[in-house]
Amino acid sequence: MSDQEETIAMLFHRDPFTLSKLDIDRIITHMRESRQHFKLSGKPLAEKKPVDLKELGLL
Amino acid sequence: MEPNLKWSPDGRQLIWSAHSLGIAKDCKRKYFYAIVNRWERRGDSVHLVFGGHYADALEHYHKHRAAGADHDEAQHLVIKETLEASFPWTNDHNAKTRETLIRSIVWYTEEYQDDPCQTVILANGKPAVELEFNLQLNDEIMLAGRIDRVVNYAGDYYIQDQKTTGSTVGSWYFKRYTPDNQMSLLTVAGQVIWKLPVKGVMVDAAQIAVGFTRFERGFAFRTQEMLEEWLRDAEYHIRETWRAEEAGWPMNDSACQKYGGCPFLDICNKSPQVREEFLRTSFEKQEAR
Repeated sequence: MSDQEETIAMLFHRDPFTLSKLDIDRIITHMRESRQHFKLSGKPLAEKKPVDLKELGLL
Repeated sequence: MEPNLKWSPDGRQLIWSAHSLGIAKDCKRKYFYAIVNRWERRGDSVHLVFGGHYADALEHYHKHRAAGADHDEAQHLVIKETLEASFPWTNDHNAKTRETLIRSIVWYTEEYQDDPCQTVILANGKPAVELEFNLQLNDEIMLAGRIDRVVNYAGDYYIQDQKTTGSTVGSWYFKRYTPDNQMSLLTVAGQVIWKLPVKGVMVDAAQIAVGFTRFERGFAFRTQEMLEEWLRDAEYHIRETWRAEEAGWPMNDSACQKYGGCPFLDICNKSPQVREEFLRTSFEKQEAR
């Protein structure tokens, strides 16, 4: 778990009424980044290109 | 959230929600267990709690936006509200956690921050969000429910409804909403209560997984004839349910496997004399009506 993920996990365990505006912004920023990461890693199937094994010298 | 259901002194349900009517249509025995006696399987409430917080947050987001707040401001407000409302979190479901709830709200509001569909502003100047309704089916029966949001999309009116699911959401997913009891009732309410030419329901579905939330939007259209047919059928099913007590709440054993299995399957597959004992073991009663 990265430092950032640990910080976010700790914020989720805190009494929410004691969270500052900055704490909530940290949570939102973390979630926005995880969405960007997911969007980059989770390409739709249609965008994936077939691999030519002959061209790669594997056949 | 389930509206308050009203009952006559002789035990007939007079105010019907889509939830209670849907169960009555499925099976009279299921209705007896779930609606009359309010049995709920232990652990089942996680889906209701998660879905409730999720729908509330998105309704509030749209309310703030309609009141003039920008995206960042509205998002911050609903995340703060939801963190407070969902604390402490008591269930141990692997995908529906407090973290995935907050993630799903952030991801949804990011995804639809520039949504072309607009919240309808009612004649009283208020945004059409979080609307409770009651409408008369006939002299005895009322239908009740709650609408998440009424939207204008490409020049047409729709009721918007938020759904969360653990399964993959594809075009087949939305087929379950036509025909569908809840979607028909919501469309009727939009037309009768707010006098809008509502074409149907826009379903915003969220697939909640451990590592991501994925969104898909689908539609459940209704014609006037479909709605009239639904209203006639609803009255028939309600009257039939009123008669079910005399017949000992008969079981519809062809509905037991629907949607991955009725929650009362492991009760009804026992001999009648031991069912109550099994109910007490794995179910709990919700607060009395």
